[in-house]
Amino acid sequence: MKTVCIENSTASGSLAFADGNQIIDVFEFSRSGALAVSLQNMLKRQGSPDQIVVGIGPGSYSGLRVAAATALGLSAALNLKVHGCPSVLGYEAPEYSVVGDARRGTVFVATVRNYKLVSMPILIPYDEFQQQLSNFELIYAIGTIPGLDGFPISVPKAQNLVFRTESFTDSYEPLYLKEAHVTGAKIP
Amino acid sequence: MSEPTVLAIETSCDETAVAVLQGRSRLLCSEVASQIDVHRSYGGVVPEIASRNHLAKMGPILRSALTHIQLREVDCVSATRGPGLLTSLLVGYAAGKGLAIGLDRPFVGINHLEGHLLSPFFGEAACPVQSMGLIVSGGHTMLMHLVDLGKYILVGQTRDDAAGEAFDKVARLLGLPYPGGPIIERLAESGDPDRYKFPRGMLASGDFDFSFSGLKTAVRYLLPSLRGDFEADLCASFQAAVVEVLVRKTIKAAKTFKASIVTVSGGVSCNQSLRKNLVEAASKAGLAVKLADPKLTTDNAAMIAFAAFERYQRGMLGNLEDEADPNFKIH
Ligand SMILES: Nc1ncnc2c1ncn2[C@@H]1O[C@H](COP(=O)(O)OP(=O)(O)O)[C@@H](O)[C@H]1O
Repeated sequence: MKTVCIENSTASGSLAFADGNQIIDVFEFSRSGALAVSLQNMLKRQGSPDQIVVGIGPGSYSGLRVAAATALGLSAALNLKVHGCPSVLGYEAPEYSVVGDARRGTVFVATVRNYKLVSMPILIPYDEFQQQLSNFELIYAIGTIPGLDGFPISVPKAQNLVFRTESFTDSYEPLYLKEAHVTGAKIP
Repeated sequence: MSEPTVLAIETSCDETAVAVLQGRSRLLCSEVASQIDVHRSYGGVVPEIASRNHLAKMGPILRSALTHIQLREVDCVSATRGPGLLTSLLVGYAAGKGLAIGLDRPFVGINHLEGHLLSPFFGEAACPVQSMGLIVSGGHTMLMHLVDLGKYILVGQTRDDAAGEAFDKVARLLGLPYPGGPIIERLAESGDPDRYKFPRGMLASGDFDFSFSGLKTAVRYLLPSLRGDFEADLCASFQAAVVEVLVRKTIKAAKTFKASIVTVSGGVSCNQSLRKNLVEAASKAGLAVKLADPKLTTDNAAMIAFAAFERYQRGMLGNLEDEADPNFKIH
């Protein structure tokens, strides 16, 4: 099974082409206009895939929409299935949390255990997140967060996401976050 | 050999549209999924909701369009690049690129206004020629001198409200629903266009610009003093003021720029009074007229496909690196 994976939830996007459980091509880009050309070049090198996986966030709505729509166009042309997969699963490590700026004084937080989301990513205010920092071990930030530094900035990558098959869904729509107030106890 | 086939996607505002056109006239399909009911409850288009809906509808509408054709028959893929709402544009534009990549066909991004401007030539055997184009919609009112394909000179435009916007705002003053254009036109049919004297904005300005906000204000000031059955006369008088300025400036622009054809396109060009008056004035002035087919006037992908066909024919192709542009310039 050949899979092409598009991950575009942050300012640095990536593509991966896998054949079975082997990655045979990766490409990273940092301008949104580069996604389509990079994808075209990858498919010229590797031929057509059998399925498409697209990162669905959380992250930049515009980036996610461009990725999902590109995947839809490609799938219509090649008659392929599109799977969505939460972008935050696109790290090598099996256990970690991901935080990202969600504007208006909030961050989203997603916690991953054994390569899977513990729960759907949640939105919490900065200060609440700061109070709970001691509950987290490894935190990746997908970009800078005003007023919160000290986290390694690290973005999800398509070459990891493509193997999170257990978390593939039929929906390619971005994860639209809902406000949620959580107590410390709920965050492992 | 059959003529080239172009597939086009249009998502510049709140309509998700896909069309497939073979040659200049064989429209193999033209599908529009409207969101107007979703947005009506908010009193306008909400960009975030429009974008979510475009993405949700894109898959089904593409699949439905592709049932009408063999994929390998598509020679070129196009999508509206701008102007419009960025969050809406980027969905259709990216879907078009994905399709072009999968089909291994050229991609061309089309200016929405070029789609309007060329639409009066839809279905003709030859390519669009030198003409003076009036584009009148809910968001635009402009006179564009079409010199050649891709060579357009902006001759004049509105300094405030677009003509369609004026119809919509006056309708709102009268407590009528959106969009106001068609309703005002219907009421105007039985009204007296000379009953109220409304200003002809910028008619003597010496240039080709328009202004409709004074007209709207005049209606607003007059309204409280009116009693009884005034609606039809008011609509007829308002419409006459809009139409007179549009028609006279269009004819004058055509003469000034030595264009022997005048065209009209965009949502407001559905207006029968505008069509009739333009035809009469043009014939008096010895000019030919081309009116956009009403089916091509509101947002649709057929007009985008037509513009893309012309560009494809001339090898004026786009590239996959260009991005959707909410302020994409045509001139
Ligand atoms: N018969 C008509 N007479 C006058 N205006 C009309 C008529 N039909 C539609 N309109 C106006 O056309 C506009 C919609 O046209 P459209 O080309 O879709 O504009 P846009 O995409 O810029 O909103 C609305 O403002 C509407 O009131």
